[in-house]
Amino acid sequence: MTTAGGPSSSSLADVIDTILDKGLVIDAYVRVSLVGIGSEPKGLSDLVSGGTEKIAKSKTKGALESAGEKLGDLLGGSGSERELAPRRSHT
Amino acid sequence: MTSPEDTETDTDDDGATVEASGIYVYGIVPADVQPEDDATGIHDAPIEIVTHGEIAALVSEIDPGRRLGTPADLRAHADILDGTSHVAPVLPLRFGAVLSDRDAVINELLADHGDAFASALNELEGCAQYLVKGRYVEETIIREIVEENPKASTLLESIRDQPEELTRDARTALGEIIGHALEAKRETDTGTTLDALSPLTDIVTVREPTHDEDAVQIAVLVEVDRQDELEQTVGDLAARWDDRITMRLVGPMAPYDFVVTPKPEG
Repeated sequence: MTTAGGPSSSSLADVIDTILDKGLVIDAYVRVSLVGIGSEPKGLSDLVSGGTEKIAKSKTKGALESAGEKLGDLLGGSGSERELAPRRSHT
Repeated sequence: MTSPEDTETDTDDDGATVEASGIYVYGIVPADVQPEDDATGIHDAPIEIVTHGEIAALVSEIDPGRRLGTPADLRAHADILDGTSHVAPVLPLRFGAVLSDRDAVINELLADHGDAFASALNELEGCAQYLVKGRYVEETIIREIVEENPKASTLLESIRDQPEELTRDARTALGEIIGHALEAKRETDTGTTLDALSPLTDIVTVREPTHDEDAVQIAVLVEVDRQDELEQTVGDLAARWDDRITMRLVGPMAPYDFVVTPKPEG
């Protein structure tokens, strides 16, 4: 039971399940650039719009956007730069 | 910032680089994200950003000749993206994306789909992914199944105290019953978890089980501000299921389960 103390960090198994078969893929782009073919690579625009659709479908969209604004305010508004969170160490 | 020595290898005016090097890409973020000075990624290379308009890629230099894929490499990829997901929206790339140089990051990744990336990042603002995972406690769940299923309990009785070679059929039949029962329980318990999570978000993905005893594997997109509520919800489920399902909440992490990659054609 780890929930009492907040979320647990990812185990290596969690990481493997997640980053090896999920996430955006640009392999097609690399291939295109190496071969030097100017044709429009397929896939990436589809997948992005697919992902956006999925999110946009949500009824919570408005809430998400306002939460985003709130976070922006919290971080000092659009003028300030956000800092990447420090890399967490896992021991 | 850039020293004269650096520019010799960084710039690539005539399309020829002297040193073999590549750019490892972790993910895509809004252009106002700034890596911490001491942030390092795969092979301990400093994290940099390559900016194009409103968006940017989180990258680090990599030696393409060096093997990629150790546990430390996987961790580094996940840590950079998950660390970023605390503070900014991020579109994670799958592990292992290497482009030839910084220009390629712009020309082959950021430039063509900048608007789509920017709007996806905008939708993600304030949210991160969390994984809600539950694993059945074997002893408890087997007992529960046998108690609920007279056929299973009869089979179990017939197996008890018998030599192994005489009970092969009975054990096979019992195994099948337990397998089907686990499937049904997984579905029920996943449904219960989804119901409990529904006040927090309806942006969810149910992952396929990777183990027989996986009870629940759900990725959710939740506002980072509401993490406390999420912890409470998962904590309540954990208490309710006590020694029946071991519940875990992992995150915040980059929204891997919500950037969808279509299957390649063919």
